Amino acid sequence: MKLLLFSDLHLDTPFRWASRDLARARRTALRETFTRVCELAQELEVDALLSGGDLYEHDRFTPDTAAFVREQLAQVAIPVYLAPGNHDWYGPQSMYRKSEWSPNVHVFHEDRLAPVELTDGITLWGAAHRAPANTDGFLEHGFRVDRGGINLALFHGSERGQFPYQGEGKVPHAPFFADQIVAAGLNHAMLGHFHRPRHEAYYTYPGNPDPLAFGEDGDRGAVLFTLSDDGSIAHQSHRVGRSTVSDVEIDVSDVASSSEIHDLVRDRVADLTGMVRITLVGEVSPDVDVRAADLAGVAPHLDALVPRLGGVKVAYDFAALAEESTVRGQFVRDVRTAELDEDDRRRVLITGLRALDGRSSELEIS
Amino acid sequence: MRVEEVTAHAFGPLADATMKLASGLTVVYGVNESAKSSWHAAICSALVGRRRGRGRPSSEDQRYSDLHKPWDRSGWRVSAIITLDDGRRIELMQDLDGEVDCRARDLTLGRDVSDEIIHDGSPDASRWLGLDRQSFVATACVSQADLLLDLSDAQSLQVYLQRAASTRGVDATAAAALAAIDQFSRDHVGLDRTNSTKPLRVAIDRLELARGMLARAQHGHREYLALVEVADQNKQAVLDAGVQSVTCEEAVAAATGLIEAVNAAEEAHRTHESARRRVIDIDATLESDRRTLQRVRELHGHFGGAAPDGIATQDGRYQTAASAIARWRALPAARTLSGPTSAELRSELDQLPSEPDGETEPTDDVRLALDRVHRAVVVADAHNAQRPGPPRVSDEPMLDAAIVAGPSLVRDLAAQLETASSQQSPATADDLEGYRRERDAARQRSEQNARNVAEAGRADERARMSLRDAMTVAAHQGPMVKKGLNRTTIVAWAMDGVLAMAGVVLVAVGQVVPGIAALAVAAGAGLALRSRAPPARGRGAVHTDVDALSAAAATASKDLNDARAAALDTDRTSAVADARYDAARRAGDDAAAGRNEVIARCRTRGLPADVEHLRRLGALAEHIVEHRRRLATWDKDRRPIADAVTRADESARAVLREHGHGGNESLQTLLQIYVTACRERAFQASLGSRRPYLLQSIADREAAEAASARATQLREDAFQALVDAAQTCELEHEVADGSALDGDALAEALDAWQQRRDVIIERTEHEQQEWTEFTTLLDGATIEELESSVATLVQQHECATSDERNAREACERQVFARDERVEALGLDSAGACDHHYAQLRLDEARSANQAAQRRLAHASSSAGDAEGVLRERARGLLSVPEAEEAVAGCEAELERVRRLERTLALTRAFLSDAQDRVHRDIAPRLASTLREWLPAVTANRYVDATVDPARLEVLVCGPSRRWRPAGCLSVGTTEQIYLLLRVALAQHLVTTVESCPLLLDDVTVQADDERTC
Repeated sequence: MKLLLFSDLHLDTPFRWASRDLARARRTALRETFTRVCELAQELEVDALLSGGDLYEHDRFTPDTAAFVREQLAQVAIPVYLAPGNHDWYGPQSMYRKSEWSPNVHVFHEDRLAPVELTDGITLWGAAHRAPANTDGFLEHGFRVDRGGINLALFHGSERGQFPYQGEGKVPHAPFFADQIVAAGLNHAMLGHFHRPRHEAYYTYPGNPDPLAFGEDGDRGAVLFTLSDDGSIAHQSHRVGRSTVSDVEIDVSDVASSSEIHDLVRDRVADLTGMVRITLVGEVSPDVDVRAADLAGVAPHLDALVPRLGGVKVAYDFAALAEESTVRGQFVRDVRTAELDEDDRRRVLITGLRALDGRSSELEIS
Repeated sequence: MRVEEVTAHAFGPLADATMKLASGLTVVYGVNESAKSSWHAAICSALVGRRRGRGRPSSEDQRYSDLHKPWDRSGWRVSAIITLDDGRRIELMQDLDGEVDCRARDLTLGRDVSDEIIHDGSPDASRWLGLDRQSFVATACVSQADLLLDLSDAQSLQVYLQRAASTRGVDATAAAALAAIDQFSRDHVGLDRTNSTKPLRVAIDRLELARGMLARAQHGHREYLALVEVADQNKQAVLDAGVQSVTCEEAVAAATGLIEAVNAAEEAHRTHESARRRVIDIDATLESDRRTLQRVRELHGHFGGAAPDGIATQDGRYQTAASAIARWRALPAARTLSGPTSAELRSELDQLPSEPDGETEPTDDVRLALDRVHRAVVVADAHNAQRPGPPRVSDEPMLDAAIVAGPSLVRDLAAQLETASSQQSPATADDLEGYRRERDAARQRSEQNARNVAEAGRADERARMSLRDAMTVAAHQGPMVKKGLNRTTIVAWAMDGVLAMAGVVLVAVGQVVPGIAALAVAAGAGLALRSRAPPARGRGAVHTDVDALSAAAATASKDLNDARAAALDTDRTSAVADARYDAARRAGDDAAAGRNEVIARCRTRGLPADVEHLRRLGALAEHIVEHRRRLATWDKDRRPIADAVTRADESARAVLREHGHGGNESLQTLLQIYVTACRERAFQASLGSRRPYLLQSIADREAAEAASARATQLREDAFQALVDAAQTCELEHEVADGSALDGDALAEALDAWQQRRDVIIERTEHEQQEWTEFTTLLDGATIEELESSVATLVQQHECATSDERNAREACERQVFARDERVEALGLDSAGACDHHYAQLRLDEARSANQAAQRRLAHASSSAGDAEGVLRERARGLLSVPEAEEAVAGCEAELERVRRLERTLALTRAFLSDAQDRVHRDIAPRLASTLREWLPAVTANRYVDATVDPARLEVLVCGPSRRWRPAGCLSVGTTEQIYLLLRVALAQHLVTTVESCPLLLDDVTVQADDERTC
């Protein structure tokens, strides 16, 4: 038997860092990824398609998205099992209730693990979040399967041991420990919630298949599970994301002008596609004015170029300046000893020195 | 640091030339165009080099290159050997062109020490002084060109020095930097005012707008979800009502089936009964024919086919009687027919309606058309429900003018009028009065301090005159006078001086009365001591007196300086108060002008000049404009919906017309007529379904009636034969007394008559009777024919028996089916088999079904309404993620502006504070240096100088203490004063113990010989 698992697609999620058009393009890419997941399920001739939750966002989904999901799943023509998560929780107003699903779609709607027999000897246990928060762990209260054969679980939950690995302030929705999976008599748990993919002996997080933010790494996508007759479970990740996201760090220490920075950035991203976030680092001459807005049109072939300048330092010799018996020296001494956070201190120093240098049009520091 | 020698390898007009410099002062002289300035630039370049960096050179670098790059050869290099105060000899090599071969080497150790002084890519020896090449050039290296340029404009020279004090370079002054920050803040941040168009206010407004849009989007989404839930509930209600309807329809079908089963069972029972009677009839006929055949066979065997003799001669009456009796007794049993006659059945058949022409229930195309009409009407009703209500009625006379002007303009006018009014409020007038009082008080303090300065100046002048007199006396009296001044007098003079100084200090700090009193006492004591002084004293006493007076003069001079400082502070305070008062007054005037302008604008547009009235008008106008807009939008949306209703109605009428129900009546009436026609046809069809059963019943009944008629005819014939025989046998009395009415009785009478006759004719009669019986039984037929008839009857009997069995089985099946339905319905089997009871059940089921249909229709209507509203809302939904992204973008922009505002404010505060601190520190030093050298360079014409700590403006004064700006003096004097200031700045800016060389190019060109020396 072959099963295809995906999760955390987050249709209709906002992209606050992006422009209006780019954000729309990103949401369109999420839809294309969903379409790709459905196509992959048919190409691989899987026996069922599984969603580990957060397929969409309850507070933001549009009627169009509901129709889109319904039509895509109706076209799959294989059994589909949906386990609602904390973002697409199952309630009286949810898309899962509103949509008139095709007969091949099964939505788990109980807040406890309920069985569905996939075939003789293979049972899928699924559960749903019935609220956006405070959902208890599905493996709590002594849950244990009541039958033999291969027992699989599908739900949206947080394996507590993964928190240090996942980070980013993930909220522990439906928490559990990995050893509870075995204790419950489950052979494997197919999960959603953590966006960073994780493949362990008894559970799998496929991760969000299409990038939602910069800095997402790992082999994410849809995971194909192959269940052998001897009970062994093999898995293989398939990339389904329609978007390419890259993080590039560029050292601008040796540049002498902003045009050289433009050239440097253009050369570094020339071979890249999709969305690229560049992080400029290094020390630049005080004469060089580095502005994020100036890099907007450097790489028109990309879907988006998002510059970050936090790592750029201006090569002022503050120690030497502080020795001066001038207003500038006094200014540098005062700012360096003042109780300011480092970012404010950097901005104030550069702003003041530029003002003293007569660069009156360059007083805004990125 | 001392420069030993400089070599110009290639520099301007110089090539491989070396200049050795003396220890101390080196003066280079020569005629014009002898390269003095080139040597000055070469020395400077050898010491500090040039900035090494990528990109296009600055304009100043380009100008320097144009001036000093070798004119007729490649390369541009200079070198120098210098000795530092720690004894190290350093060779500096500056490759000014390629800027590659630049280094500083310790000649003693042979070690490269470039890293100690590298600055902007090349060695800069001024770093050993704590300076850099910009500050060194600005202070210690004064070129002829700079001096000539600056001397033409004293103010630019002043600015140049301010730059040096601010940045040691040629960049902006601190004041210019602060002004640039203020201007940048005004342009790129602005104020958080309602009417501001600057980035801060724009970002705040945009964020508020975006947050409003987000709230609308989220509210719309929540409403959409609520409508989804309502639609879901309505759908569920439709499903429930549908289930109930199906249940009721099933109940109707069951009741109908029950009636049909009851009818079928009754019909089957009737059929079976008919078949059973037919069997009985055939059976009776067959039995009779069999007996007849048997008798015929017996008689045939008896007579052998020939009539007995003598029979003809027997009494004919006996034969007639015997024949009549035989015929009577050979009659089959009488049969009584029950149930409706064939005529009644035919009448019933004739009353059955013919097969209906047309549909018995509404067709799908009619239903579809009506469903479209229903949906269109629901949408139209939903839209009509959203029609905006009537606007608030107002008798406001200026409302039309407000609508013409537009609500936003009216509100803006109200806001501007309120702002102008608030700026003109009494509180502002109070503030203005407060500023005026502060200004007057500051002026009084300033005047008082000016008087104090004058007083201190006079005290200082007196002390100086006393000192000069004492020095003169000492010079004339020599050593003899020195011993004439005893210690007590000196102490008294010193105490007098201290008292005078205390008085000055008290006056300076504002204690005017005690200060003047102290000064008066000091003056009196001084006069007393002077009058008590011995006319001639020894030389030693005079010298002691000179020392004391010198100390007193120094104290007085210090007091004078303190008083001047205090006066400067109060002058500054007074200037600040003046500026504040003027600014407040101008603000008040501007506010009044602004209010008048707003009032004029209001009047021009026919609007009232009242804030509340304007706001009320603005709200009313906005309400009216918004109502008009919403009504127009509603009306615009209504037209296609109404068209859709019309189209659907016409389509439905066309469909009904195709089904023969056209007309001008309402669609509902046409539909009612159509449905009624369908129901009538359905009823007609159900009635017509009985026709086959009736035809069969008629056939059976007619057969039975024919058989019965034949039997009756035979009976009547036999009876008539009996009557005839009785009359023939003279039995009239039996006939007359009524016995003739009964055939059997008549036959018995004939029998009796025959028995009586039997006695007479015994055997003959007997045979005759048998023969007669024989011929009667044959009735003209042969025995074979009679046998054939019996065989036919046997076959008919078998068929009739089979039919009866089939009819019985069919009846049992129908009864079983009826009983099954009764049992399935849970009814009482006894009552349920009754047709009327079943009809009652059917009526109840139909009534329940109609109620369920109404509930289903209502639920469907509600679901349709909810679905229509949901679709309408879905079409107008705002995108929540896009609204969130817009808010995020606006928040980021506002954060950027806020951050810029905070950074600029912090920078300005730090820079202003640094400027104040540096000026407080640098001004006294510069003034002290100027004061030390000023009498010498001005031939004692000017003896004192002050430096404005904020603007580095120099004021000088002569012995008369009249202060004049240095820029107003002669060019030579100004040059000397600012040269001194430049040297003082160099001394101040050097932060190490290293001595700073001064490189001056023709700086005394405007000075006379004395000042030059």
